[in-house]
Amino acid sequence: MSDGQAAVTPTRARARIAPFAWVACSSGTGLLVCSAANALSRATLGSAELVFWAGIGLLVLPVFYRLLAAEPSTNERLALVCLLGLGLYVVKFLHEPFVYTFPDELAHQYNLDQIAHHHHLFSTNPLLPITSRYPGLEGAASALRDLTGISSFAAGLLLIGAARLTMMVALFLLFTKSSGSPRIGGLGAAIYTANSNFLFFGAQFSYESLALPLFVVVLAVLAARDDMSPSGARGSAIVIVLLTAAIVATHHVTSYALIIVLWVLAILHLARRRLCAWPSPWPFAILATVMTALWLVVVASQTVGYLTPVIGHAFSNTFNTIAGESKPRQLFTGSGPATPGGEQLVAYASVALLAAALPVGLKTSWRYRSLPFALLLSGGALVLFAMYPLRFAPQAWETAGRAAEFLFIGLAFVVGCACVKIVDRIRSPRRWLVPALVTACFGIVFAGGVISGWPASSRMSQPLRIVADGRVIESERLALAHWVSRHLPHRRFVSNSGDARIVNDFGHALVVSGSVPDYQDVITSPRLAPFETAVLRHHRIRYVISDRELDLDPFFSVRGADSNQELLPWSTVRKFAQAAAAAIYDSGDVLVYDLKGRP
Amino acid sequence: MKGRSRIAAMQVGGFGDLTAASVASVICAAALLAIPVGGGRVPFGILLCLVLPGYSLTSAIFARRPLALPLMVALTVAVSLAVLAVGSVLLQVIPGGLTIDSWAILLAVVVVASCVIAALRRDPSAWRPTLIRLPHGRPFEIALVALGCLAAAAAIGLARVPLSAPKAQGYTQLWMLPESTPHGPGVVVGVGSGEQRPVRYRLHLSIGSHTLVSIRFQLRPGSHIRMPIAVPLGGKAAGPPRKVVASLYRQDAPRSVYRRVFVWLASGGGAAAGR
Repeated sequence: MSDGQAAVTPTRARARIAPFAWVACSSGTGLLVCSAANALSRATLGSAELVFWAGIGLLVLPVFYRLLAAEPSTNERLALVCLLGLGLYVVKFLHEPFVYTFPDELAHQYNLDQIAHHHHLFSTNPLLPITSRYPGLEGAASALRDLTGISSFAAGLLLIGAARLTMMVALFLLFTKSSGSPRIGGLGAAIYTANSNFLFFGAQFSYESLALPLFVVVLAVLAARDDMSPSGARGSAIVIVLLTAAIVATHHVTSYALIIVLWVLAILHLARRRLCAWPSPWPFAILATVMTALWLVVVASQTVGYLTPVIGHAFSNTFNTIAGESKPRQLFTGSGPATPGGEQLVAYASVALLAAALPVGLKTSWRYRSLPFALLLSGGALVLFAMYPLRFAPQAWETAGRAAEFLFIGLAFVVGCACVKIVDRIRSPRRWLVPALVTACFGIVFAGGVISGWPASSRMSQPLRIVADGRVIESERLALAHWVSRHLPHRRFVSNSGDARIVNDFGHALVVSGSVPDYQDVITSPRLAPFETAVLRHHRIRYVISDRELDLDPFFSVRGADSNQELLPWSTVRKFAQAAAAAIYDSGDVLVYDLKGRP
Repeated sequence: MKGRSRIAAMQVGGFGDLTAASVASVICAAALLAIPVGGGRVPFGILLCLVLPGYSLTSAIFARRPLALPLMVALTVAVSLAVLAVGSVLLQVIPGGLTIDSWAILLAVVVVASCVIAALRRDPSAWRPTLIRLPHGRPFEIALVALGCLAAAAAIGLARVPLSAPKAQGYTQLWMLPESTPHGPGVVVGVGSGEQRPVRYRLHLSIGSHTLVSIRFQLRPGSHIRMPIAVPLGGKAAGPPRKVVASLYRQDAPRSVYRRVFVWLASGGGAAAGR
C-alpha cells in the first residue's frame, strides 16, 4: 500500500446504501425540526428546547448508531462522518441565518470589510485588535467574497463550511491511521463533535475555526506518512509546510498547539524509533517554531500582551483556588439566566460517562502503542481530564475550555476505541441492544457538551428581523447601526462593547469601547468625570452611544423573557446632556449624543 | 527548453484531470475578470478558490502515485484554504494589494503551474486516477436521500423567513441633526417606526418657548419620515447658541413625552452641532 491507502481502501463490492439512505433522511428531518424550534424561538412563541433536542437527536444518533456497526464500508463511514459534520454546521447556520451575531464574528467581519475597503491586511481593529495581526481567515474570505461577489456573511459561511468538511475527513483519517480501524476512525470523528465548543463556538466565523481544521489536517498527513512511498513522504513535507504557514498566519493559539504536538511527536519518535519506521517530525517542529517566532516578532508582537494576562491569571487563580485564598468558581453561572437543573445533570452525566469510558479506551488503545499517534492521542485524553478541575478556578476556566478543543481530539480517539471494545465484547440476545445503549450514552455526552459550551438562553435563534403589519422591521440596535451608516458614517463614536461591534460592522463608523483606555467607565459611571472628558477629547471622540442595556447581543428585547439583564439607570444613560452635549438620537433604550453639541 | 515545454504541454494534454483543471482555472479567471460583480460569478469563484488550487497542488506534490480518495478530498480543500490564507499575505506586498484582478491572476497561475509540474512528474504508465465510485441505489433508497436533502433545504428556507414575533418589544426612532436650509440655519428631523403596529404620533419642535412645528402623523411599522425645517433664530449678530428641542408623543399617551432629542444652533447661521 502506498500514499495513504493502507487502511482506507475503497470497497469494491456493490455498495449497499439502504442504511445510509435512512440516516440521510433522518439527518435532513432533524435539521427541519431544529429549524422549526428556531422558528418558534424567533417568533417568541415560548421555549422550544425539547423540539430543538429532538432535532439534534434525529441528526446525531442515527449516524452514531450506524458507525457502531461492523458492516459499513470505509466510504460509507466517511460519508456518515461528513454528513454529521456538515449537518451540525447547518444547525449553527439555522441559529443566525441573516447576519453574524456572535461577538467574535463581528470582530472578524470588521477586518474583512476593512480589507475590502483598503485592499490590504493589518488594518487596526478597535473591537479585538489582535485579530488584525492574524489575517489568514479574513484574507481567505476576502478572496472568496471578491471573486464570487457574494456578501461577507456568505463568504464566511462557505469558508468555514469547507474547513468543517476538511476537519471531519481529516479526523476520520487521523483516527483510522492511528488505530488501523476505519470503525474507530468514524466513531472517533463522531465523538469529537460532542466537545463543548463544536456546535456553536467552533463553527463561528473566527480565526480558530479555520486554523483548527488545518491543524487536524497536518496531524492526518503526518499520520499518513507512515504508509507513503519515499516520494510521497517528501511530497507530504511540502503540504505540511504550506499548512503550517497558513496556521501561523491565521491563529496564535493553534500555532502554539501545533508546535507542542510536533515536539511531543518528535520525542515519542526518539523514544520508540526501534518500533516504527515512521519518519521523525523534528524538522517540522523546528520549522513551525521558527515560523511562529518570526510571525510573533515581526507581525504580531502584541500577542504577548494579549495572551500573557489570560494565562498568567489562569495560573495565579488556580493556585489561589487550590490554596483556598479565593472561592472556587460556581459552574453553570454566567451573565444570562441560570442553567436549568436538568441540563446541569446531563452535563455532569456526560463527564461521568467520558470518565467511565476512559480506562476502557486507554486499555484498548494500548494495543496501538507502537504508533506514536496512538500514544499522543491517549496522552491528550489524560491531559484533558487532568485539566477539568481548572474549570473551578474563576479565571482559568476559559483557558481550560479553549484547550479542550485540542485535547478532545485525543479523548475522542480513546472513547472511540472504548465504544468498539464495549460493542464487540458485551453480548446480548438482542443484537441491537448494546449499540443502542452506547448510542444513548453518546447522546448524553453530546447534549452535555452543548450544554457546557453554550448558555441555554442563546442556544436558539432570537428575533433580529421580524414581520409586523406585513413589513419587515429590524431590531433596535441594528436600526441604530443603519441610521449611523446613513447619517454619520466614518465618524468616531464611543459605546459599550456590544453596540461597538454592531455599529462598527453595520454602521461603517469607528466605534471604540473597552477598558484600555477607560471607555467603559465613560459609559457606565454615574457622572462624567473630568478625566473621562479628557480621554474622549484626547482620542477625538465626537459621538457617544449611550445604551441602557449592557448586553452584547443585537436582538429584539422580548417581553417576559427570563433574563437577569443588567440595566443602567436613566440618570447614567442621560448624563451626557449635562455635559453640554446634544441628544441627536433617541430610540428608547439607546441615545446618541454629539459631544460638540454646544459651543 | 523548447522540447521540454512541448513535452510538458503534451503531458498536460495527456492527463484529463490536469488539462481540465488548467483550462477550468483559466476560464474561471477570465470569467471573473469579465463578468461584473453580481452577475453569476459564484460557481467560477468557488471553483477557483476552494477546489482547483488544492487539487492541482496536491496532484503536483503527490505526482508519482494517486492518493486515496479521503486524503485527496481533505487535501484538495485544505490546501486550497492554505493557498488563500498564505496568498493573501503574499498579495499584501504587491502594489494594489488584494483585488479581484490580483486574486484571479494569482490563483490561475498557481493552478496552471502546478498542473505543468504534475504533468512533468507523473509517470503515465504507473498512474491510475482516483475514482469516485457512486453507489447504486434502488429507487426507494434514492427517494429517501432526496427526501433528506429536501428536508434540509426546507430547514434552511424556513430559517431565512422573517416571522412575526408578538412578544418582541417595538421601538420608535426620533433623531435630529443641524442642517442649513436656503433660508438660513435649520434642522432635519426624522422619525422611524419599529413598532409592532401602526402608531399615531405628534411631533412638537420648539426653540425656547416658541413652537416651530407641531404636526400629527401615523407611521406603519418599518416606515420613516424625514423633515427639513428652517429655524428662525432672529437677528444676524452672533449670540449665544439656542436649544432646539424635538419631542415626540404617542397619540395613545398624549401627555407623556415618548422620545426627545435636542441640538444647539448658533445664531448668525452657524450650526453648533453639525455633521
